[in-house]
Amino acid sequence: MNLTLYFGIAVLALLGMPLFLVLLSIAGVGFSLADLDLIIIGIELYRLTDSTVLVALPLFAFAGYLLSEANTGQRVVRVSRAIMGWLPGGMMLIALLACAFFTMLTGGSGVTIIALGALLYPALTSSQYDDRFSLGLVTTSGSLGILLPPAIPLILFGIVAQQMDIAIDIIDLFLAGLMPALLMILALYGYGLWANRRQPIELTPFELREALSALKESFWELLIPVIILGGIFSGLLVISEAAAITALYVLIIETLVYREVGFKALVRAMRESMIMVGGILLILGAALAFTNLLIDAGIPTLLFNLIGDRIENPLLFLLLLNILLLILGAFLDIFAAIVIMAPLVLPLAMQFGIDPVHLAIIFVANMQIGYFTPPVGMNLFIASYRFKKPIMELYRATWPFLIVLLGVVLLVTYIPWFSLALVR
Amino acid sequence: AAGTVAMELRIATLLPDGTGEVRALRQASERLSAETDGRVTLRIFPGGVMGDDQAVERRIRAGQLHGSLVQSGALARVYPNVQILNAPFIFDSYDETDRLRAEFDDDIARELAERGIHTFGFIDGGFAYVMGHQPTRSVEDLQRARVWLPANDTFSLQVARAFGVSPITLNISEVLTSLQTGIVDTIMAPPTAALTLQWFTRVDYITDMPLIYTYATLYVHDRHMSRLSEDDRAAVDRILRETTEQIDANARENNRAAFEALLNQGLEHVQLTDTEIAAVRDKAGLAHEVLIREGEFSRDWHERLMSTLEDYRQNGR
Amino acid sequence: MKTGKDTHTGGFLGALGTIIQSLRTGFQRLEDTALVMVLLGMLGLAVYQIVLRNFFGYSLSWIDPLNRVGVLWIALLGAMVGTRLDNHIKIDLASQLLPVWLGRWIKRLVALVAALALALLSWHTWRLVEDERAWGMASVAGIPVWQLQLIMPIAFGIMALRYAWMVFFPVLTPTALPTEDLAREIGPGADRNTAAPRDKDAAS
Ligand code: NA
Ligand code: NA
Repeated sequence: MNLTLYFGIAVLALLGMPLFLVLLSIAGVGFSLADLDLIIIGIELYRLTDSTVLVALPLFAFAGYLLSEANTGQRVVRVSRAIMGWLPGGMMLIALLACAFFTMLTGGSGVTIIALGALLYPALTSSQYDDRFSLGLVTTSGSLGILLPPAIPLILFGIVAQQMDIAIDIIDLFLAGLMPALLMILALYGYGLWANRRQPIELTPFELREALSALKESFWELLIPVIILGGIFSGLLVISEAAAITALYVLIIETLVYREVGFKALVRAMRESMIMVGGILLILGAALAFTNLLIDAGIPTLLFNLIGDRIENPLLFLLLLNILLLILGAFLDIFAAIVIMAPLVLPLAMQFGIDPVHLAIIFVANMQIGYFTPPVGMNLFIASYRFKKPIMELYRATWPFLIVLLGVVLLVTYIPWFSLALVR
Repeated sequence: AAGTVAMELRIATLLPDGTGEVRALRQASERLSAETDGRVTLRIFPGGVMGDDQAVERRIRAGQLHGSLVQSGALARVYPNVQILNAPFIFDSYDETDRLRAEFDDDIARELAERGIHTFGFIDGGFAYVMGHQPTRSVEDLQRARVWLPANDTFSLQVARAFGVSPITLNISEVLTSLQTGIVDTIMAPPTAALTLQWFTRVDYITDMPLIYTYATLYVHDRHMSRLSEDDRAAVDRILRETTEQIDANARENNRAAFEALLNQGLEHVQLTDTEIAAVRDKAGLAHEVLIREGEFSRDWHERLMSTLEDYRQNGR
Repeated sequence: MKTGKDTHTGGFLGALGTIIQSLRTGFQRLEDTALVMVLLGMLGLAVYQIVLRNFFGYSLSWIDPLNRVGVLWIALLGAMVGTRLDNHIKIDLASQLLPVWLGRWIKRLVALVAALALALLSWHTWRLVEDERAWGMASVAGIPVWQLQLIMPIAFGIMALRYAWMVFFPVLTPTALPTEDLAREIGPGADRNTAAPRDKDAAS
């Protein structure tokens, strides 16, 4: 009977029941079977009000959507081209850096492909890059800056850890993400050079005047990371406040300085970013209820003993973790995966002596690959819409990039130094 | 009709797993099980996994939890006078807190019992002290400082206001970073908290004047106690009382040791002159008036508090 | 029943339909406005707090707790509007793999279960509100917590109604994407970003 119910919910999940309802249904069934009052679900949802850091999420998301309403994408690409265009594989490097930078500006709110895709894809093909390569590169790059501050997935991981009384400093997470992110960019660049080694590709010669003019044009937007990082690392602002200042700053420059976002577009950015962030937050709330069910039933302890008894080697544990996260990433959204899995994995990993900051990077880096693994890959879907290509063609285009990133993820997983050198 | 069925008393606490308190509770569970032939055990939810005080209180009403080990202030909504010993700047030494605990513990427990809360005793939380980047030698120093207070702690907020301090409210999780970066430069905390949360690494001075006496309590709601048979109830009451006493005694030692540990970590000891102590006490009197006016405790109990303390200081009893 | 005036909409029923339709539009505008207002409120309060702290050296203790409640409100209002647009994060293999006619029936089934689950959620969160009103004495920024919790039963109730509606009128969306904004990006105006960069060299 119990199994039938859970199985039913699993089937409904695959048939398209919203994820927050899937989690709440599992929690509801679990609590009912344990003879507990379903009022607990409301108690858990209200715990969304426990964390100050969460306030940063809507504010960063709003700023990100606002940037995608303006012509920020064009300016970012222009600056990249003016400064990097002369390098071998220049246009490719431009795509990588512009995507990483834009994702960084927007906190990884998933708008990169929408904002840059239609700009970079034709730019790449017109620079004589092969069509499939270009498509794969742009689709892959959409998730590149996800480890760079103010990475929303990293913030979310920190929140989950703090809710479990594990002291993780969000700033440490930001520092830890820098080298792995750089490594990913370099690896993709290297692969791109190799893949196009026989392809004659023209370069954009460096012109100081164009470079300065491009820098001048996007001056106000280039200040955004300075404000975020400066505010946080100088200690003037806590994370939620840095988010508020960023949102206010972006609001001012796009409406008053660049004057590209009119009233209607502004309202649209507010509404749509809040729909997205509301969805994520509700999943987080539902995951709280789901986690509470697990705790109430003593599952973490059980899992703990089960794995602790059978696996002693931390490397083996990490390997299992990689596989598990990749499988989850194939199905789940990055935010959902973090809020559901982090509470289970954190205590286990700490028992194996894995630094929680390193774990956060492993988690997000693995999940980043999930952005373009079938069946559920946000980047694949968005790219499919944006470029009007069938999903299957995108699978074919992205898999070599996926292998490259997977290599980096393994490096980052097994060599903690990449994550921890700047932190510990 | 109190059942004789097996029952798992579910107790939550913010204290992390592995602390002395949580270990003592687990031992109590084993004793209980042995003495009730397995009819009653404890299930401990440590580390705040059940949420903050309010979430725990809601869960107890919903029956998911039965009791909790919390700072006494968490019960202030049920009975404000549980906070009476939290009145700021009244104590000089642990001897005085012992005298006042002897005076008040039983009465507080009785009042809570009348409101459906079965307590097993109170646990020493130690004194909270002022610590900071710069020395706090006077009320004026405190008024100039960037003082941290937890958000939504009305009691502390009233005290701060009475002292003319404009506090900066932040979440506990943000305190460490904010101390480092200077968003706040002064905190008030018991030494144990300063040690476990690593705050001591970001402050240089500690003012040697106990600010507030903190204490915790272990309780189970009557609604859930009454489901036990009379014998089992007696066993639970006896064993948990003994456990609480034991935790209380250990806690006192820990709190003294924590203070010493802070000094050993290189925090500089700031002594107040007699004039400054008098000025602080003066302000404290004002703060007490504010707390009475805002309903944080009653005037009767406050008078009794001050006269007992006076009596003890004059006559040593 | 013909009143002569509403000839093309069909008299009383037509008038009723018009009224219901405008109520619906009004309500949708209301929830969109509420969602945007919560965001602006959070932004405004957070900025105000920063100014107070950095220029006046103190902070208002109620701002942070109130902004944290804003997070809950955004979660529920956002999900409410998201339901209206059938825009939730989901796994949704079915719509990718199954034929359209079957997909439609599956959509109905899922909507039915969702409506029931949401109705239950609405009921139990309403019980939480009542419990809090009777026993809880907590407040945030002077507002009793039960009033702040009220958004839960309301939002779940509305979502339940919307899914119930979908049982009869399933909306077909090809994937689990934020469809509306994407549709706009790809539809009219999609060429905004595709347009040639305002290249100064090209112009000259
Ligand atoms: Na992205
Ligand atoms: Na995926």
